[in-house]
Amino acid sequence: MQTKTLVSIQHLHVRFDQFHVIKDVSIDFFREDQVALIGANGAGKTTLLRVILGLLKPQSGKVLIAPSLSIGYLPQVLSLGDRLFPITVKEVISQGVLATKRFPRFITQEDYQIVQKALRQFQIEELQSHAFGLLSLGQKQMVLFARMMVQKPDIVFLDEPTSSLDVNRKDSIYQILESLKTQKVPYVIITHDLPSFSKHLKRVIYLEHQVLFDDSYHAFCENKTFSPFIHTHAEGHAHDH
Amino acid sequence: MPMTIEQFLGYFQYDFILRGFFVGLIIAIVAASLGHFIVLKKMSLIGDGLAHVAYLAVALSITFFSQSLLFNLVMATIASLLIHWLIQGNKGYNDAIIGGISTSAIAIGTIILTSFPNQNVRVEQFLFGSLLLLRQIDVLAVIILAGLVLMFIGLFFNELMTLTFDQDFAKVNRFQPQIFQIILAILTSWIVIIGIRATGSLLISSFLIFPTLIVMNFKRGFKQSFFIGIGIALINFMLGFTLSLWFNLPTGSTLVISYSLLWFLTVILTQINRGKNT
Repeated sequence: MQTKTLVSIQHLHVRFDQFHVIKDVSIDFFREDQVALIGANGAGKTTLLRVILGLLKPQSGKVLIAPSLSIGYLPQVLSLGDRLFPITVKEVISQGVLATKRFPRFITQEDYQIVQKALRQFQIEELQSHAFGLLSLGQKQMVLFARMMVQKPDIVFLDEPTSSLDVNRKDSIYQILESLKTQKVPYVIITHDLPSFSKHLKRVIYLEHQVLFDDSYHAFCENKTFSPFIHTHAEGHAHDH
Repeated sequence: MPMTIEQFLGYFQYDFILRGFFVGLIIAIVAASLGHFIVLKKMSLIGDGLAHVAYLAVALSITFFSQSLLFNLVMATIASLLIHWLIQGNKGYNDAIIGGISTSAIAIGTIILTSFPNQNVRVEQFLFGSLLLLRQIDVLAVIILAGLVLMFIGLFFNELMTLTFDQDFAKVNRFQPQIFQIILAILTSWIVIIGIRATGSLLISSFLIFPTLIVMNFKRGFKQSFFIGIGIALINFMLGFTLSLWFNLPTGSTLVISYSLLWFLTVILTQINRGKNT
């Protein structure tokens, strides 16, 4: 197994005023990773993600990213696209192409074909001229996923991908994970809904301001300290079948 | 008393009428173009705050700097940077901060204007504007500014679209959204300072806001909405300017009223349409 490190977090500390949200966190993400980053609300998951993405500066520590690595990021669907915001699905996906360019960022005929190909690949062709704001949450997620994939990411971070979807609509996220596996793109799912992803994980990181657990998914299930999670895991599994 | 068509067209023989028409039209178009990003980025209040600070800038320049346009532009730039900086450091209470700045600027400006009375200047002129009191230098300034703004938007349209829709995505992918936001604020402050003579500081922000507010009801794409917004600004200006001459009404106010009527109309039409579809 190839274990080339893509992203390496080293001795990270983040404080908001007096509140020490991230305490000496060190994590490496590898080429073969399929990780769930779990923890309670307020445990620092989203903060950690924002530091990795460069949206937040840590007080100390480092995030080392392999040279010319492209990081994909699937934001929470609810955070984007007011009903009235005038933008089409095609325009949203084209932002992914723009992200791979430098100035001047103009859309060429070639780029347009990349967008068309993504629309076909993710079966959202018929939505291309629709207003993004009027789509269902599952459709929005698919569009944002398509935007991310045209960037050809080397590693992908998914922020609470099931939090705003009801049980019956989780299919779109499984479709996304399957597609990442086929294209051999490693992924990190930030979630507090571990049972939903049981079939799609190799590794689990449990964060409670510091890393309390970082090992294989199998080891996580065996570990008695985390039995509440395993319990819900079993329930989730029963529900699946 | 309405006039005949001949009398109306006769107005356009006068330089000051033509100048007002030309400058007003360009301001309407430039404001609509910038407004598209300002409104959708939820920076409308910044435009409004800048408009009030512009009033203070104009008051200062009339009283102490013999109406220097350069002084106004520098003041406006400083004000937009200051507002941007204040907002960055105080997440969540931006509307309150801008409200505080706006009212203080109007208060200080009015005290300056009334303490140092100037024979040629009335306060209302800068609150409500007058398209027919424009100078040659205003024409030149508006042409240069229009060139700058259209070049900026033409070169960076896709960056502006991306950061308006999703700031985090833009930042992660090194689109430098903060720099673009500052440039947007500065350009807005310039159109405000140049437009203030034409439309007045109380009304100028409607030129930024209304075209996009109207176009949002059409639910089209980003680029399409941008051009429809400019179209709306153009039509509204011709309509409002004509009405204000015809019925001898203040131009700035007439333009704002016709904008608000157009907006009202599109809201009603969308509601009717929605009723039909369900």
